[in-house]
Amino acid sequence: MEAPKKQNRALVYAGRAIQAAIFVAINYVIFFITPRFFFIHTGLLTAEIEAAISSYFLMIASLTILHLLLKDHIIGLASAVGLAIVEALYLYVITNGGVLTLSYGGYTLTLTFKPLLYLMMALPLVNMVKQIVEYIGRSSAQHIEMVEVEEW
Amino acid sequence: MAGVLRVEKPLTSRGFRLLTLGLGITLLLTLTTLAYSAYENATYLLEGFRVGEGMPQLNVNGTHLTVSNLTLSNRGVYPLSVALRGWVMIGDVDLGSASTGEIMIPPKTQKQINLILPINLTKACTDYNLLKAILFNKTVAAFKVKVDFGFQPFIAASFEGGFSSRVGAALDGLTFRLRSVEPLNETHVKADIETEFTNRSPIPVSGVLHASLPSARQRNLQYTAAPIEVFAQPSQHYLTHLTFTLPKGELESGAWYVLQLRFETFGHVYEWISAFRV
Repeated sequence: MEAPKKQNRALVYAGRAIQAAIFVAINYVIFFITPRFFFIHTGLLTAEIEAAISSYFLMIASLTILHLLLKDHIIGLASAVGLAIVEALYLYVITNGGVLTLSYGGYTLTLTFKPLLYLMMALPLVNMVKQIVEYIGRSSAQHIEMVEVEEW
Repeated sequence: MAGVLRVEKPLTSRGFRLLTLGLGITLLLTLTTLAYSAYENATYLLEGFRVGEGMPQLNVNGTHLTVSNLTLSNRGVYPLSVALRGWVMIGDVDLGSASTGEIMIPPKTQKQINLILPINLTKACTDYNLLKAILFNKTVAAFKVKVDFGFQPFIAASFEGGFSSRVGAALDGLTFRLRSVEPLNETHVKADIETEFTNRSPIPVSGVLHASLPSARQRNLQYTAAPIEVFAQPSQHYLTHLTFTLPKGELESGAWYVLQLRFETFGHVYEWISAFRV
């Protein structure tokens, strides 16, 4: 009975690993390629911004993997909470609080998009609250294991 | 045989899922409509620039800078707010500024914008160093324009730029030339020194010019010409004469002489020396 159980668990983790890989790839596009592309083409890419993008992406990727692999564990929940906070913080830091200034020659263009930024930040934060509520709700659900009955 | 008892997801969880979905859709719709509005307006504006339609007319005179007939059209789905501000500076001195205030252009409508900027050139005259620069050197006047625009209430942008215009010297090409030396009596002569300049600045030159000629023969002796009241409008070529009464033999042919000059204007006094050849 132990062998199929282990096999089942391995299958579950393999599935989660694939899911994590997909999510890391999506996050790579959203949190690494897109901002780098934007900052390179607007001439705003500095060493500090590049370092911030890389370090935040590394944090996002590792927290995504942890959250997806350890879904039913408290570490998974902690990772989900951390991931949401890091994502929201990343959006705030990388957009300079919703105020971006582009300069070209003697001309300056300042973009202010605070309401949009808050809307973007709300998504991971609401998701974080959802994860916490679900985790608390899950603890009240009983995990019942049926006893094998032999019929005569 | 083993199994897990499945429990229906709680209402709060479903609520959060709906909220996340709603926020996602709102964000996506907002971004799409903003991008559409920005694209439509930018295309229209660029097309207008290309064919010269809706382009503003810029007029500068001595007292005002006018930006007129700037026609803006909102082809997007959000109200477009526009505010135009401008100011003129020479050096660090602000000569004037004006703003249109916030103008709201509802979707699918257009508005004409005019901006009249008063230029107070007397402000430049109150600064000793700036006036000195304007009188004797070429300066640069900076016209700055700031345009605030945005799609209410999501995004606001501010565009700042401007252009510079060279301002010529007020006493441009100031020269002193000995025109004639005529005997006045047995002991003295009348030396006539021609003075000319062109006022290439936008400021009318008004002041009193004092000139004195130190004696080449005797120390601490100076000959003074009668002060001249100078008044030259912008672009005016000004010509006057300084008349000195000198002892005979004071001026020697082929020699260089130094003129000590003092110009009183707008409450300031500027002193300098200039040379002329006999």
